[in-house]
Amino acid sequence: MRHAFLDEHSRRDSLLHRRDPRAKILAFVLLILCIALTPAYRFRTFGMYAFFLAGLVFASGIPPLYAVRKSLTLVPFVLFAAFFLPFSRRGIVALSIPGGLCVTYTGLLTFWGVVVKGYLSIVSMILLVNTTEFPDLLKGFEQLKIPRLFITIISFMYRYVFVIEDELEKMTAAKRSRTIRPGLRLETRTLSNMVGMLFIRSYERAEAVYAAMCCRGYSGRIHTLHDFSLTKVDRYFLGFFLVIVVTIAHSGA
Amino acid sequence: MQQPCIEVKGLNFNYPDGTKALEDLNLEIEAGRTYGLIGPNGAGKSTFLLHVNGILSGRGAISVFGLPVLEKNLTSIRSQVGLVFQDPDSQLFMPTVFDDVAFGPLNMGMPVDKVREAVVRALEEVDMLPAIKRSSHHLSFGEKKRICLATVLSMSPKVLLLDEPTANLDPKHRRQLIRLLERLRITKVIATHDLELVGELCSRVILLDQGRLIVEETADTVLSNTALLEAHGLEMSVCPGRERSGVLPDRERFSPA
Repeated sequence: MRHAFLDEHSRRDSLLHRRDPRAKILAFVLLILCIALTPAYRFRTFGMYAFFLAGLVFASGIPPLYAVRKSLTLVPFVLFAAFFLPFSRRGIVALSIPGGLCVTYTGLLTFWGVVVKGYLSIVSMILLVNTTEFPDLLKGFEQLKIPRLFITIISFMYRYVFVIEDELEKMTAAKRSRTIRPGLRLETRTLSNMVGMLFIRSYERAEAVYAAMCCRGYSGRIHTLHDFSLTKVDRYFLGFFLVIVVTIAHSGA
Repeated sequence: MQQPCIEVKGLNFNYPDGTKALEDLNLEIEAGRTYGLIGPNGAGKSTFLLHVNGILSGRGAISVFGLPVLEKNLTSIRSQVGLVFQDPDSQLFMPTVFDDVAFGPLNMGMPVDKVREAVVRALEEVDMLPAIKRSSHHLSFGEKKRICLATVLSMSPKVLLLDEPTANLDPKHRRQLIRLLERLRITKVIATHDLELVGELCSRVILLDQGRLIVEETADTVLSNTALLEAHGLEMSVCPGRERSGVLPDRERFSPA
């Protein structure tokens, strides 16, 4: 079975990979916060954020093409969210479309703001996820007092999304091997059956997993151990990161 | 005779859809022995194992080391009885191998440094220490099976229940697993269709069919009784100390016309 990875490059070795997950989480959350709070008209500031992120991608050894490709897959979601913004602001009309719709300059600026902030945040997240192994990331969040239930849900999702994907692949192969004359009607009907079947299997899997958890003494709380230690380098990293981000945020003001 | 470590009296269980899974089951399992739990599909082997650990509860009485399997005793019973499931993907649910093997000991309230020791010891026992930091979905099926065993061994159980330990394993990994089980000097109950494994590892055999106990005897007695095995949908291709009986003489082989 082929396995998709969310964190394909997280097992590399670089200065960024070696940092304590908590330091990285704090650093990137701060970066995203600053990006989100930057007014849309500060084009130069966004340029500097992009430059900083590109530098981090190179420093971490993640293939730049991979980062670009991965980030582009998420862009449609941002575009979808921002699609109506150019039409929904009052102001000087930049373009009027027959049918009573007008695009305003303010609307365009808001649109640009959402898209660029969204994109830069996505790149930041890709960097964080690909420089930290997923289990460490979860433990980092747990250490930073993110509610345990939330962590548990994500941890199970990470473990079982691949198992369910494997099951789907097996079902698809079984379906293909028995489909002689494919047709749209048949396809849709089998697809809905497969979705139902997948749901039942996931449900049964959940019951089996719960039984396995109970067998090993589960009583409503998942305990984990971690061996993180915030080293001097981690502290310098966090401080350095903070200074750069705040400097960029103030530039062009 | 030693005091039995698992005692089952008049156990009955029906699944919610009405299927009778266990019917008036009476058994005694002695400490220190290895039992083979055999029977055709749907005989109630897995259902029985789930009862010993209190995951399922039917009518009747089970006691483990003198403690009745009841809600209030479950914590103590589950730390003494380790159950290894058939599907490793159900048993390995944590993000890394370490977390999975540490899950049981942490729930037992072991101190942190003892937990780390127990994890290392259990992984060493199954020769999987190098995988300690990996995610289980990156492991092969045979490796996952061995980690499953480690998740239970880390709790230092007194009894080990195994559900189809060799199912879907290739011959090499099957052999590895059998050697591994051979090394473990604790009471074991192995539910399986693999009669060769039973012949190698088990001193006694429990034969179930349609939820009923057919016989509980020494392994040699049951495994050499071909008629009994066949009557309950089982077959032994290679019997210990006998010629290969699974190979038919040439003239009896089916040949396409």
